[in-house]
Amino acid sequence: MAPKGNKMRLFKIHLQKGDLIDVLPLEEIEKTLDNEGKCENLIFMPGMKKYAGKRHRVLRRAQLIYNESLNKMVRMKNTVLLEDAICDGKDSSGIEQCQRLCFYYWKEHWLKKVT
Amino acid sequence: MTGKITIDGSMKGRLIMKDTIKQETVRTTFDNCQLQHLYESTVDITAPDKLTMFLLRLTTYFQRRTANWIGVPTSYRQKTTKVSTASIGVTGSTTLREGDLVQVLPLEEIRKTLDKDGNCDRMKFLGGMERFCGKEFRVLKEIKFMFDEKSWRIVRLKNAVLLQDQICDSKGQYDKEGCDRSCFYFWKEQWLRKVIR
Repeated sequence: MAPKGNKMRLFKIHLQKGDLIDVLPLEEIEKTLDNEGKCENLIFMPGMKKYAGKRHRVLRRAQLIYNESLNKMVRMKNTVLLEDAICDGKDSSGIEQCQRLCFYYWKEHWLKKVT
Repeated sequence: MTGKITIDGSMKGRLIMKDTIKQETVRTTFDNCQLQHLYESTVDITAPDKLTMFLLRLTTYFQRRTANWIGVPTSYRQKTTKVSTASIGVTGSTTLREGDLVQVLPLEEIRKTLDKDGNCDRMKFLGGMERFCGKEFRVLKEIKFMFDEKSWRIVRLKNAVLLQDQICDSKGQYDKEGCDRSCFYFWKEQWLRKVIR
């Protein structure tokens, strides 16, 4: 894992809804992560590993999201949701019971656009 | 990190949530959900964002006003106030399983299950769910437990399911206009009818 503060592939891709993308291999994703497993403060979850190296379609850009705990809207940068990339809780220890099926949040740095 | 979930003593503790309330408290200690870390990567919204949200609210407001003016019933709030309290708690629910084909009840029938706040068993029927009424869908998942961001713990839900391809687009949500979270809608089984072929 890269040391904290390591900036890898920090260029903008600007993925849009419907874009076809490849999730980078796990080794490349890990290069973008700091020692807390985060890229630009967004954590890469263990449950996201199974999508590494696979092809998906962008469901939506996550630009504004509602923060339920603070009851306000907040802004995200360079983040997208992918179709069918959903958290089923099974890969997260301690939260296996959660059945909310949230979409995982993906940094664009973890994705490569298929042209 | 290893987590441990223990059911809270007598299970008498009840939470009060805005949209999905019928739960019993389950205490949990864990630190392994992306939502728990999500807000570290966010920043405050900018002035253009505020303007966009304001315009979206304004658009929704005028759409509803126009619809009401021409007589199209889109606002569940207005209709639910006319429903007598005697109709609250209409059941007829069945236990739905993953993969079951269901039909969402017509809007008029769903309204009969709602109280004056637009809730059924304290779960809110949102304006964005109206467009699915009368259509057939497959059950994606039965919801028994979920992580509640507000109380920061796992909570229990009763008679609720998620349906395939029914994702919130935040339209018609006054304080959430423009939200990109794409959460699945929660459906009470009372709002669904199992299709047997």
